[in-house]
Amino acid sequence: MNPAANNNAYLYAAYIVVWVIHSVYALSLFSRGRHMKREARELNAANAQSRR
Amino acid sequence: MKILFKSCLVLTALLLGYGFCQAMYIAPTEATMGDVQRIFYYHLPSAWVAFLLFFVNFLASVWYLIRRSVAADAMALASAEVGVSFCTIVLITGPIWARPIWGIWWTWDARLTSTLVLWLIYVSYLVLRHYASGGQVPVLAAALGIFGFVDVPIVYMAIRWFRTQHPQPVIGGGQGSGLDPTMWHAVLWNLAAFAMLAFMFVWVRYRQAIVEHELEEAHAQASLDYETEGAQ
Repeated sequence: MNPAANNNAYLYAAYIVVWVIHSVYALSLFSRGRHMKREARELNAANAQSRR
Repeated sequence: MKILFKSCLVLTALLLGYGFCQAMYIAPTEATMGDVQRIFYYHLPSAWVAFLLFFVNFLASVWYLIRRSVAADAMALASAEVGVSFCTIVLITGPIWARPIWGIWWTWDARLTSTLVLWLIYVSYLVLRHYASGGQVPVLAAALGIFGFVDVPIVYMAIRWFRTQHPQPVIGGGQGSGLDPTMWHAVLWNLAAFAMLAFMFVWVRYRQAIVEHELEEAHAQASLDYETEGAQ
C-alpha cells in the first residue's frame, strides 16, 4: 500500500467542496427565480390596479 | 421547452453520477500519489469548463458592443457568473490536492497566480454588474470581459512558458506527459458531465437575466405612467 494512499481525507474534502459550491449556486438560481416570479406578479397586480 | 429542460436535467444527473463512479471507482489508482490524485477528475474538467465559459463571455461581449443586443448582454452575464463558480472550484480543489503532494497549500508560480488573477478579473466583472448602475454598465462590463479574456491563454500557456510547481500539461506537453487511456475515460466523462451542468446553469441564468431586463423596463414604464397620470 502506497503511503500517499492515506490522503483520502483530502480527496473527500475536495469532492465535498465541489458539490457544496454547485449546490449553493443552484439554490441561488432557484431562489432568484422565485423572487423574480413574485416581483412579476406584484407588478402585474399594481398595473391592473392602476388601470382601474 | 419544459420537457426539453427536464430531459436535459435528467441527462445531467446521469452524467454526473456516471462521472463520479468513473472518478472514484473505475479509474485506476495513480502509482505515486495514490487516491488523492482522483481530485484531478474534478479539477481539470472544471478548469476547461471555466475557460469555455469565459470564451463564451468574450464572444457575447464582442457581440454586445457591435449590436447592443439584450440577449448578448444576458449571455455574457450568465457565462461569467457560472464561469466564476467553476473557477472557484479550480482554485479550491488545487490547493487541497497540492497540500498532501507538494507539502504546501499554495505557491506563487505562474499557473496558480495567473489563475487567481483570472478569477479576480471575473469577480470584479460580477461586482461591476451587481453594484454599478446606469446605462453604460453593460458597455463597461463588455470591455472588461473582452480584455479579461486575455488572461485565459496566459493561464493555459503558463506551464509551457515558465518553470512552475504546477505539473506539466497532459495534452501536448511533450515527452513524458499524457495520461493512461483508462484515466482518459474518467476525465472525458466528467468533462461531459460538468459541461452539461454548466450548460444547464447558463440556460437558467440567461433566462433570468432576460426576465430581469424585462422587469426593469416594466418598472420604468410603470413609474412613467404614474408620473404622467399625476401631471394630468
